[in-house]
Amino acid sequence: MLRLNRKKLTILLIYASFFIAIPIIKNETRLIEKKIQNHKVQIILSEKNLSEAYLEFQYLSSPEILENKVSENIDTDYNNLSISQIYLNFHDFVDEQKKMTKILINEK
Amino acid sequence: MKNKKKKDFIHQNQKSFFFEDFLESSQIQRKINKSKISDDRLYFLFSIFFSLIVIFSISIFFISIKPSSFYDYKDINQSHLKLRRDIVDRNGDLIARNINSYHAAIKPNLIKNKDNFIIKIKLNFPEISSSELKKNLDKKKYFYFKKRLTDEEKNKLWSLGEKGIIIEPFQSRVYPHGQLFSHVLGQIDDDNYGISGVEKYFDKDLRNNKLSNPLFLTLDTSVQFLIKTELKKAMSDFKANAAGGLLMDVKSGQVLSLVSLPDYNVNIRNDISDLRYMNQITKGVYELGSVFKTFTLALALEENILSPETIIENIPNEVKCSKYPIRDIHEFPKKLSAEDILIRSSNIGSLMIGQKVGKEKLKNFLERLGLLKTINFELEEIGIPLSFNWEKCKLETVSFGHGITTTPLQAAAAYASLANGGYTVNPTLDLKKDLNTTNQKFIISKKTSDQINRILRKVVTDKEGTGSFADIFGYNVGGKTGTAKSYTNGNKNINTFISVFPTNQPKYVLLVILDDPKAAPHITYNYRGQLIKNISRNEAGWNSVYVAGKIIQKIGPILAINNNEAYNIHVVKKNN
Repeated sequence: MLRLNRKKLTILLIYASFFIAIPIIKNETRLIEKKIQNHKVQIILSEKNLSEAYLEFQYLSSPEILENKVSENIDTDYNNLSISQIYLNFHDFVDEQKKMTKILINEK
Repeated sequence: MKNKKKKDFIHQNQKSFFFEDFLESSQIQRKINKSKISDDRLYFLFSIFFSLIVIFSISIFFISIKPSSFYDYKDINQSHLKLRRDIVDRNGDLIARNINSYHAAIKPNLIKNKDNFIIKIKLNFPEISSSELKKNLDKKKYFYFKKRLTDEEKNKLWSLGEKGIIIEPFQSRVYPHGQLFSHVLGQIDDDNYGISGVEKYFDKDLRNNKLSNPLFLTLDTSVQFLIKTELKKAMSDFKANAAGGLLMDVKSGQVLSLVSLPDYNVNIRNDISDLRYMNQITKGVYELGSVFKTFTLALALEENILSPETIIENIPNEVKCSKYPIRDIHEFPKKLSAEDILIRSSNIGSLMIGQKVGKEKLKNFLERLGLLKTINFELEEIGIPLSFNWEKCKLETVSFGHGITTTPLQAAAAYASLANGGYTVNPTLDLKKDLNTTNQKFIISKKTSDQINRILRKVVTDKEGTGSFADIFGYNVGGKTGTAKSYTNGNKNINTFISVFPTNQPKYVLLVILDDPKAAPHITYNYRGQLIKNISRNEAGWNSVYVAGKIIQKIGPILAINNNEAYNIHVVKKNN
């Protein structure tokens, strides 16, 4: 009789604990889901804003707009770079400038 | 032991054979027997209820494990899905993108006080005609009040708080570079279907929602802008009707720039019927003149009929073909080498080379170069070369580029084939296109290609050459001029210059075409180090070549940065 009751009691306890735990877990999961969802919405909105900002950047940095802005705001007349002035990396540029500096110092 | 004791206890207390409840159970049994409900019915009912319980239990289980649809990410994401993919240039710079936009419509039935509504609208949108609005309201039919609203306009309408104003969301296509790529991109309709240009050619691909990456074009925004700026200036300097420019990679056929002027702003809808607004490079079919002389000479060299140094003797000043006289613009020496004929651009010299080559061979060669058929290119606006019969005098005129038409795109592709070592190239705008090198068809040998490149270089560097204004330091430019007459709309010139650079290892072909350019006496030309002004000549050498030189001077450094060969040749050596 006692053994049977214990069994029942154990089952009942397990059942009761599940009965209590499941809604708690479920509610917690829902809260986490909500948070995740809010983050996802935030990501989408940020992506949208980024997309608009990128579009604006592309428009404002388009060669025609830049040229107009330069001519409006800067008096300097720009010339094309000669091919001998092209450097593919920064070190080449620095080396060339050092050579130039040495020549200028020696001239002085 | 315990069980045995229990059994004994029952036996001792048993008063009769029957148990106490026997009577009751027999009564129940009797009731059941008497009742009209059969066992089968009970089992049937039980099975129904049991199945229902099982079904409900399963559905409850699935509902509990399924994530809530209210928070479905896909649903939210759906509203931001673009109907068309982005288009970007070869460097990833944005060329076209879909954005969310709005139309404002009005449901007249939902507006209670119409007079008040009209006043409100008039205050916020003074440009709207009150009478027109009143007329539309009286019709009591749903109508569009304003299309493509700006954010400010949308907010103004929201702030009116009228139920009858419906803000309809839709997607519109924006082109951040305005009219820079107008002739290449084309346009789309209100339903986001491509109706011209690349938008139409790649329509299915651009509307494919499964693809999220943008469509990469071979174009380069900076190069395109620089070429356009120079052509625009040229149109004003030489008072040309139209102008066109094309820059192509000689090996891959990738088009880095395609400019046709006049152009239009693709962000604004306009009906354009003026023929000048057609794509001069792909749709325009022209008799390009002397640029064809290169093809005649290339074939003669390939067939070993002559070498660049072979002297052609007794070149007359005039040749009569049928009853029509053919002559050169200037008087040339009676003896010219084959390469000199191209350098000086002699019509009669080319005619004599053409006669040596023969009609069939020249015809086949031009066909293999793809000059006589419609080209396969990623634009809808493609011109069809005019067909003709190879009758009397046709060989003679075709050998110097008269009586034969093609599009500038095809001519540039043919020059690329001659310059790249001799294999055909298909011009393309699609950067991701698989360039299958195994199916390359060689039309001339590497030796002939090198010979042609050397001669083209001489056209620019030689004293007698017609392309000296394109001799820009550092780029080894070579090329051929073409001045042709167009008789369709008056007697006007179509001036072309097709250049190849650097000629020692050709990388790019640049075509410049000007429609009816006039002499520009105000321009100070730097002619081989000498500054000259008040020039009244309007052949290609004085305008198209001059413009090509200016373009190469500007785009050269940009191309050189992407081209290690140019860097190694011109920069590293100088530093060392």
